[in-house]
Amino acid sequence: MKKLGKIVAVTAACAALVGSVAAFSACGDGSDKLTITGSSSVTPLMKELAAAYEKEHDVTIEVQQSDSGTGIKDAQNGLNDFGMASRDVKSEETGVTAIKIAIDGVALITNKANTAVTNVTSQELYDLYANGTTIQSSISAGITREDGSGTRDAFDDLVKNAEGKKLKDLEKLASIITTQDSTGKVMSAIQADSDGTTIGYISMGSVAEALTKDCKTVNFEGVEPTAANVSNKSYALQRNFNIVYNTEAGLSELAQDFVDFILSEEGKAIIEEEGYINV
Amino acid sequence: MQKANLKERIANAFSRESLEKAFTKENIVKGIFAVFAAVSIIAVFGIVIFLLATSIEPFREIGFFKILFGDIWKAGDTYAEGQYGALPMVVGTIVLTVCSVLVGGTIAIFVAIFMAYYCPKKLKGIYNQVINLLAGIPSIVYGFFGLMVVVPGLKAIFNVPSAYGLLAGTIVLSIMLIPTVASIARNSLEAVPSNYYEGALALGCSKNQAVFKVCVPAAKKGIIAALILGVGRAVGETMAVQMIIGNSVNYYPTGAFQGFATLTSTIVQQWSYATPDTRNVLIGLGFILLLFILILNCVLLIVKRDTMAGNKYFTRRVKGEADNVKNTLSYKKTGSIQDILWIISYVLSIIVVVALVGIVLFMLIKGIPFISFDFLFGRSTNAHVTIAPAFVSTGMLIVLALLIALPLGVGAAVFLNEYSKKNSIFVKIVRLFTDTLAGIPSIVFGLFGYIFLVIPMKQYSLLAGGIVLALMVLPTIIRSVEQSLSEVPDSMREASLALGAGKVRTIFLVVLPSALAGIVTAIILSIGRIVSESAALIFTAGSAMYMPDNYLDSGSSFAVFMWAFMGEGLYIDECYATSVVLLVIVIILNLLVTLVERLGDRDKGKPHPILAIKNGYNSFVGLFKKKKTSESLENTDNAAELAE
Repeated sequence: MKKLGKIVAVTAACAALVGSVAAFSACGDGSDKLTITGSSSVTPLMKELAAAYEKEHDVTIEVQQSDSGTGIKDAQNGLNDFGMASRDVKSEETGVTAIKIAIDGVALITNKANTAVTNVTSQELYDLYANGTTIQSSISAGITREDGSGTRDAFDDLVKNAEGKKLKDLEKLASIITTQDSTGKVMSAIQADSDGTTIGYISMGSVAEALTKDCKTVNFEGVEPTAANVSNKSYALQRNFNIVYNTEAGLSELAQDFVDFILSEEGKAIIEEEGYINV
Repeated sequence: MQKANLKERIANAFSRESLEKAFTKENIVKGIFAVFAAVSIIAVFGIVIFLLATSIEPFREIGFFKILFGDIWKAGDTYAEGQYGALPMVVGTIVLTVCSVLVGGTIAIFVAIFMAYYCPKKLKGIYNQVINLLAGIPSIVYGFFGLMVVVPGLKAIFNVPSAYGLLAGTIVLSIMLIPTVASIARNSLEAVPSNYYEGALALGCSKNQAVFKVCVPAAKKGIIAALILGVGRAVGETMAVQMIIGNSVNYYPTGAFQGFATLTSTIVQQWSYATPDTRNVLIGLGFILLLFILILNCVLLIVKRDTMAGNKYFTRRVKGEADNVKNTLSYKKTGSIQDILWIISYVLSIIVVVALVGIVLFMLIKGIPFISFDFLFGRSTNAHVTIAPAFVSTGMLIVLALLIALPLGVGAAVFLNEYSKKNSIFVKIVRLFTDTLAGIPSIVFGLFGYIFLVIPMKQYSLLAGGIVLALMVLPTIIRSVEQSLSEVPDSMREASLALGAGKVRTIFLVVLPSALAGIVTAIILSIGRIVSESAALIFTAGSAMYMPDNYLDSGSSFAVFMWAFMGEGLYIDECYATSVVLLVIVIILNLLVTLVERLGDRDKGKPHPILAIKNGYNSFVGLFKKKKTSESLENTDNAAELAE
């Protein structure tokens, strides 16, 4: 009889598992849905915008992070309502229309234990990332992002030495440079770097979070990474955030309404609040 | 004459009677079991073929040897624009594997010796739990621990600018290898006949001498097999490694603190931003990884065959006869060496426990403050992320994977244990392929799922994730069920058959219910594997953090949630909290396994489970009229009773 009891118990447990799964699944409601795919740099901002929009309208907005290239390709193939790109559309990417929604700065961060370095020059960064030269005898290691990352693209494109040679032109970076594959991991690595001898770079939208994780920002070429400085172009490490949709199919009514919301004053307020710069 | 004969025979073979004879219930069921057993073979071939089919294009465009021996990696938009030299990663994979197997393997062997011979009886159960827990911690948790604790710690100790690299990788990977290697090595140590040990003691050896000079050499082959399995695990490890080795794709691991990359770390890091061409190259890297594993499996096979062929316990003694005199002379001296080894095994075993406690405590301290009811079960929106979707997604993945893998696995195990002759070629091949399937790294499963399911379906889905997970847990289920089937005494089968029950009836009513504990254990082990898996799921189920509506939606399990939290950089605290949830689940599953095993042991002297069902059934039927069907049931019951 005991065995019978056990079998009943196992069956009951299975039933409970299936039941709870079914119950949870039923939570999803059948309201209108927008699918947005693309750049992982734009994703956090898009999620905030989506959250605000969802509050006012009965829609579900799914933001799937991948990368700019995929976001644009999905738009070309009609797989999303619109795509996100943390760069401008290339000339060979045809059939899509881009709308610039914000500008993002690439902020340099170190652990706050480093009090010596407050400003670095492009030349110093180039020397560290290209040749492993210590910056101001205090920052001796650097973290970069993986190949193909929009943030890495912007960084490699904008950091150059006196002769105008870009990091992008190099065959390989210095041996002291390590790679992490997301903003979060760069931040964690800098947070864990308790003596502050490592520098890294993240999207400006994540700076507020980074500051709570023992990180501090470093000026670039004497300019502080603030919204104002990005806006007036004096802070050079910056790039555009675009949304991209299929030109032929256009935006659906719902998508158009959401885009209008992004470009409205309310949307702009959110963009600013999240640490990005309005167009 | 002969021709006519042949014709007749063919006609005969396809005549009605012989067809009817061939397609009896028994034979059909046997056929189904055989097909189930063949699934592992199909799966291995499927993985190899699909991976090769996709990687052929980059191999052709760039050149296989240019990829394998090129030493600059710079991903581009197309094959022509990028440079795809993987030699530094291949070297990185090999060096990291060798280092961590040397360190982790040595520790694991000492731990195994400790567990088999020195651990006090009372502590044995607890120590076993510790090792199981180490095995159950998801690799992504190890990686996070490495990133936040090991790397900064090394940096402070050695005063170097950057501590990412070989040393950090070796430390973390060694800890991860210990449970795998130790538990297999321990099994082979415990399989050494106890009269070896007793004989050695009787000849005047101290306990330490008996253990290290007699028992350990006797289990040599098993220990080597354990180390090779450890190599397989190290080669395929992805999520932990990529956080701590620095991932500098263009550098060789020339020093303890030089950042470098492995095949796995490169695949997982570059995947999300890769263009289609680069993606194909990455799949090619996956294929190279698969080749590594297949070669390794062949080596394992050779080692195992040697074990079968020779007398595994006496080869050493024959060899040693010539220098017996020397041995005798140095015997007293070696005694002190064994004493030192004994101390080492104690110390290392304690260090392993300390490492585990450290990892668990670190995660608990960082994570518990952020756990709330709302974080666990609240409605997840863009504004407010909770891990409620992870409960659903993980549940859906577990249900689907088990629905597929359990019938397949149990069927295969039944075929291997009940139908096939011992040592038949088919059984050997199935075993070989099951072992191969078990050794394939999860990232390769992920790539396979991506090519086989995600591309044709044009979306990441829980369906794809579940199917791939089913393949991954299949070997575990086959092995575990087969083991418990083989423990069912033959007398039960014989009694059942003698009483007129067919083979199918015997299997379903007598053998399988007796192996219930083993099947439940297999289910729990599979759930553990599914819960801690991340690499394979990122490539198949995607990483959407939303409540899935159905199996065609993308969804994230707990481990993938952790990965995604880490990625966005906005949810580091949530990442710790999720890891606490994962740890709790792993601990619960471990306790469940122990519980089921205990119950199974306790029930060994009890009436057959089918009797319990019958008793219930009879009392139910007794309320009405006794039906005819229960008579036949009774037959088997009696058989079972007889067997008891």
